[in-house]
This record gives sequence, structure tokens and C-alpha cells, in this order.
Amino acid sequence: MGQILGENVKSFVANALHWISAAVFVSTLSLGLYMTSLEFMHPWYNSAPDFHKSTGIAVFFLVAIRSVWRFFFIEPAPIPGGDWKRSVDPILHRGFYFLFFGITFCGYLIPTADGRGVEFFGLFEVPALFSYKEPQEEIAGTLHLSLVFLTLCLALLHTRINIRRCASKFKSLFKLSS
Amino acid sequence: MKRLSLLAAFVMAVVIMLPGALRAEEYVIDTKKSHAFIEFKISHLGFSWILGRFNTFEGEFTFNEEDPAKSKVSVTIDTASVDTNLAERDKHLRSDEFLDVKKYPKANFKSTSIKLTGEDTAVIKGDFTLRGVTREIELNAKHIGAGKDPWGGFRRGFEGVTTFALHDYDMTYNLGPASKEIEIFISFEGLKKK
Ligand code: HEM
Repeated sequence: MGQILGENVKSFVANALHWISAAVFVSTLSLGLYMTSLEFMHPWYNSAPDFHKSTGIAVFFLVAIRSVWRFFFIEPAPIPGGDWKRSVDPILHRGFYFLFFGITFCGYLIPTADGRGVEFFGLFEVPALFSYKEPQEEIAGTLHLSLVFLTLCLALLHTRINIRRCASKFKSLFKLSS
Repeated sequence: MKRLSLLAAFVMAVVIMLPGALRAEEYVIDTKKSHAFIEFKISHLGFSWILGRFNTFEGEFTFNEEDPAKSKVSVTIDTASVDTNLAERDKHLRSDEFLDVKKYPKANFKSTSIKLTGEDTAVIKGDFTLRGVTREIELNAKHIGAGKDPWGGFRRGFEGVTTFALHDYDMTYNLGPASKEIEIFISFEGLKKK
């Protein structure tokens, strides 16, 4: 299967998925914090959470596609050098998949606790599969936020580890284009 | 001699307690088989009603046949059991902007006086504690019926309505001008203690 696509295509798609997921993740996170601070009378009180759920589900799909891509086509290149970063980063990568699935799954468990499905940008509805009522939305809500914070901390570490490599890539990009 | 005085004390205790025990029947509110409901109603923007209920609570009452005004009732509600048929709304209601159930897991009503207003109606005054605030409220109550059930027990049922401002219990979240008051409707059946 790996032979069908050229190396360039494989890494371009993997990179695109990485950066789109990261952008949608950060937007969803900011929207999550913003919407829970909105007052009842605010014009976005109802629409913001609907949008949050949709972009959150989008994160789920993006990460799912990237994990499939990684499995069949290309794994992130290891960090050059041999210090702690080289051993920690691959663990972080794998951890992020679990965390993203955990966050989106817990988010999904909040509104579906009463048996209602969640809409994805009004295109289709994800049905409610687990509806254990009263404690579900509370436990899921607490986990949802805790996992978000954990992910945020690890993402900062991940950035710290990769910033130099990333920056030099950017520089070479600019050099090529100018 | 010692035995005799013990016996005398026992007989006296029975004599003193018996009439009271006969007159004031004790009941436990039948939440086990859910013949009891605590429902509430609050306006949504002045356009319609949001109905909700508390699913978990317990209570008991005494009923004094000869002098119903001497009856007593007490109910304790698990605030986390609030249910408006929308998980996200219930989560919001449990938060510190409304019921703050982590800090105040129980709400409690205890009657202090009963004034009969008709053959089967009364105003029940009592202390209602919600969110750590205790205030006197008045329930307009009605005795619905009583009698033997088909399964060997004796039952007695009431209903009651009261209204209060959310503000009274420090719930100041702005739901709009039409939604400042909440109405509570309680209906329960007591199963006579054996
Ligand atoms: C990676 C994706 C996601 C991120 C980063 C994220 C982040 C957040 C954050 C930071 C909050 C505020 C938490 C709070 O204040 O308690 C929040 C709340 C919420 N999220 Fe997400 N979320 C994501 C995905 C989802 C998904 C997929 C759903 C549902 C399908 C969802 C449903 C909710 C709901 C219903 C709330 C409101 C909880 C409340 O009212 O307390 N989220 N989210």
C-alpha cells in the first residue's frame, strides 16, 4: 500500500493533518472556555456550544485520519541527537492520540447523557450511544476539562521539544521561496 | 421492690405514649415505588414553561386525625437529582450559578405550623433550606385521600404548591425578567408505618 504514494505526498498529507488538527484543536479549546463564560442573554449562548461540538467532532475525525495515515504510510521522523527529547517525544505523540480521543469522547458524553444525539454542522447527527443520565454529564464534564488541561501542558512540552527543528524548517521554506 | 417500680415505670410510659401514638399516625413518603413527585416550573423568556423535577428525595409525616393542624411533615431533597430533560441544562443547574450541589447537596423542608383553611385544605408553614439559605415558605396544601391499598397497607396522599423568588435563595443568575420566580408542586403518598 505504501508504494502507491510518493514520499512527498505522504509527508505533505501527514503535515497538513498535523497542523489543521492543531489549529482546530486550539480553536475548539478557546471556544469551549469562551462559551461557558457567556451569559444566558448573549446572542451566542445557544449557537456557540453547537459550534464547539461540531469543531470538536472535527478534531476527532482529523486525528482519526492522521492515526490511520501514520499506521499505513508515514511515522514522524525521530528527533536528531540523542538526549531526553528523543526518547520523550515519541511517547508524547502516542499519548496525544489517546488524549484527543479521550477529550472528544468525554465531550460527546456530556450532551448525549439524556439520549439526544449531537449534530455535526447540521450535516448529520452522531447518535447517543451511552445515556446513563444524572452522573454521566458531570463525570464526563470534569474529565473533559481535566484532559484538556493535561493535553495543553503536554502540547507545550511537545512545542518546546520541536521548536528548533520546526523553526529551521520554516526558515528553509522561506529561503526556497525567496 | 425494684422490679415493681420498673414495671410501674414501664406501664406509665405506655399509658403516656399510647394516646399520642394512636392519634398521630406516622407515615413514610413512598419514594421507593415513586408515588411522590417534586416538580417545578419556571418561565422560559415569558414564552413558555420549563418543567423539571427532583428525582431523589425522602420524607415522612405524621397525621393527626383528631386535630390535623398538629400534623408534621419533613422532606429532604438530593439537589443533584434535578432533571429538566436536558443533560446540559441540568449540568448548568447543578453548578454554582444555581444549586451549587457540590457545596449544598441537600435541600430540606420542615413544617413549623399548619393552619386549616377548609375541609381538606391547609396552609403549611415551614422552613425551607436551599443552597444553605433557610427561609420560611408557605405551601398551599390539599388532602387528596386516604385508605387501605389492595396490598395490605394504608396510604394517605397530599399535594401542595408554593412560589418563591430565586433571588431569595441567592440564585442571582440572569434568566430574564420573566423568570425571577419558581413554582414548586409537590404531590406525595405516605405509607403508614407498621
Ligand atoms: C479536542 C476537542 C475539544 C476541546 C479542546 C474541548 C474543550 C473544551 C473546553 C475547554 C470546555 C470548557 C470546559 C468547562 O468550562 O467546563 C469545553 C466544554 C464543553 N465541551 Fe468541549 N472540547 C472538545 C470537544 C468537544 C466535543 C467533541 C464535544 C461534544 C460533542 C464537546 C462538548 C462540550 C460541552 C457540552 C461543553 C460544556 C460543558 C459545560 O457546560 O460545563 N467538546 N470543551
